Amino acid sequence: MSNQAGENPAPGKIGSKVGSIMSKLRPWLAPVMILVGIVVLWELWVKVWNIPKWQLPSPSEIAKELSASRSLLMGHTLVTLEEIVLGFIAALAAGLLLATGIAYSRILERSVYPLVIASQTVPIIAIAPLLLIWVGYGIAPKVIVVALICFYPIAVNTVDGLKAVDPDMVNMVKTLGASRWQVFTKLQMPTAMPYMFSGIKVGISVSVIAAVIGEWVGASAGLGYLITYSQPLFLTARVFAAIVVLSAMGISLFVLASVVERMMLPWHYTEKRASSIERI
Amino acid sequence: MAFLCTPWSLMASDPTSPNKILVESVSKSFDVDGRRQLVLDAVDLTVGDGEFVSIIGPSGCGKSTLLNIVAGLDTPDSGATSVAGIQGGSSLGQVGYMQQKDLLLPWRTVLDNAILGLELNGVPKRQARSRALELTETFGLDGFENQYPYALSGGMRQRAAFLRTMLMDQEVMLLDEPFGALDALTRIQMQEWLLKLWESMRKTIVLITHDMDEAILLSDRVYVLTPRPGRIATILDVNLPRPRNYEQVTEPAFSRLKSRLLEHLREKKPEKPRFITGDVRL
Repeated sequence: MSNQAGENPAPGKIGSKVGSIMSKLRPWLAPVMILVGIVVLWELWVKVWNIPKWQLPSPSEIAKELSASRSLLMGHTLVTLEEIVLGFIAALAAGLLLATGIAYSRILERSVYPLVIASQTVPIIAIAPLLLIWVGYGIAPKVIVVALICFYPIAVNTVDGLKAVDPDMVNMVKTLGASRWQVFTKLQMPTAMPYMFSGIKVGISVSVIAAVIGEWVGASAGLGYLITYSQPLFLTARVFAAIVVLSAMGISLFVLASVVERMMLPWHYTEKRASSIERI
Repeated sequence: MAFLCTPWSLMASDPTSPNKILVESVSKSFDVDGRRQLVLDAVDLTVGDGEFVSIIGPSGCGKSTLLNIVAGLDTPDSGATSVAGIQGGSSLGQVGYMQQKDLLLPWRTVLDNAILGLELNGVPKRQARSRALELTETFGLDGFENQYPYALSGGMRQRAAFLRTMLMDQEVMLLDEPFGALDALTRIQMQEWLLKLWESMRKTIVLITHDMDEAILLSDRVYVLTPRPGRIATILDVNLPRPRNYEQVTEPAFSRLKSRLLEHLREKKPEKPRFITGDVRL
């Protein structure tokens, strides 16, 4: 490897390890640079104008806070993570079940699907306080808020996927003797998988926000609770530390979903890659 | 899905009949833009055991509709069909059916695409795979068994679809322009390949095509359909000796058949310029 930093890295057959890692990291270079730039500017801004810590802590102070209160943050992180995981699993189960029903039954599609779409116009943040009245202060209302918010993208995307099946393919499997159920399991379900994963990725990204909303309305633990608790005490660095953890959690969950998708749908990714390369 | 019971299902079936496919005055119309359009008009078709028959005709003459009816995917408005002794719409799953699109499932490897039909009919996967592997060489797919379809050329994909249909081991195969999407050279290769395959397997085949060379080269008989509504304009017997090969295309006997076919295809001139449905009409 000699010309590593060339403008167009030749896809040589001798794929050196360094080269392949470099080419994988390349798309991340620009966003990381921008992020680093923002952090540096922020640090300088706070230092130059001598902004008090309670108003806007500098990144270095936030980092210090992250390290100093790591056990506190860890405890609250686990609470929030539990809410997200339980809510997400509930949303996934309900979303897939409903999507299956809607794709399978014309009656359900006509009667329930419009309601599902309409339900999205109800602001969940307005529902959250009611949940406290109905199910109490424990983990339940937070799990429900997460589930309500994640449910929609999963259900709608999966319905779209189940309906995206090529009618010629349906005829083909029918001439091979497929039953209605086999058309569903062997054709519709695999067709819907990439769509379902799109829904999962959207759902998992907003699940963190959902958990925070759930905790804001009333909670005694969790990162959202930590923020509402720290803000009136002007522990602004701690607020930021919690935000950093929340966003790291969101990114990690998204990456996890993408990794699972790649493992479950190898054909989807290789096909996408192949279509962008000249075919032989 | 309409569960219509055709009154012809009471028609006597004769399993010993040499006719594998029997289509008797089948008519079918569709609603196109709110207007009833006759697509097939009293079509008769008879295909004997082990015969290779082609249907040729202009676009929109109802060729595919006819095949759908024979395959059991659609029901005729009137008339009767019988395939391998089975009446009417119940032929679904009993007849091999292949279309212009290969319709390979992108999430399955070539081998698992090939065994789809066997799998749907309850054959254990391992057994199905070993049956498919015996044939991959004949179908020019050896070495590609574990590839996903996107990695294959058009001709290979079509052969994989053929293998999927063939593995069902049905006596009757319906081919709806199977080579229509291939380039000219690949198409010729595929025609020669199918010719050899059929001459060794002797299945009953109905082929829909636009390609006159293909129809004459492969078939025992060619049915010419009129423009919509589709009627049988003529039936041309192809009495070229078998086994055949592609070189015969340039022989005088072949040319004579082709010019007769061309005559019939051009015979029925449309009374007035027709527009394909879908054009704006006020």
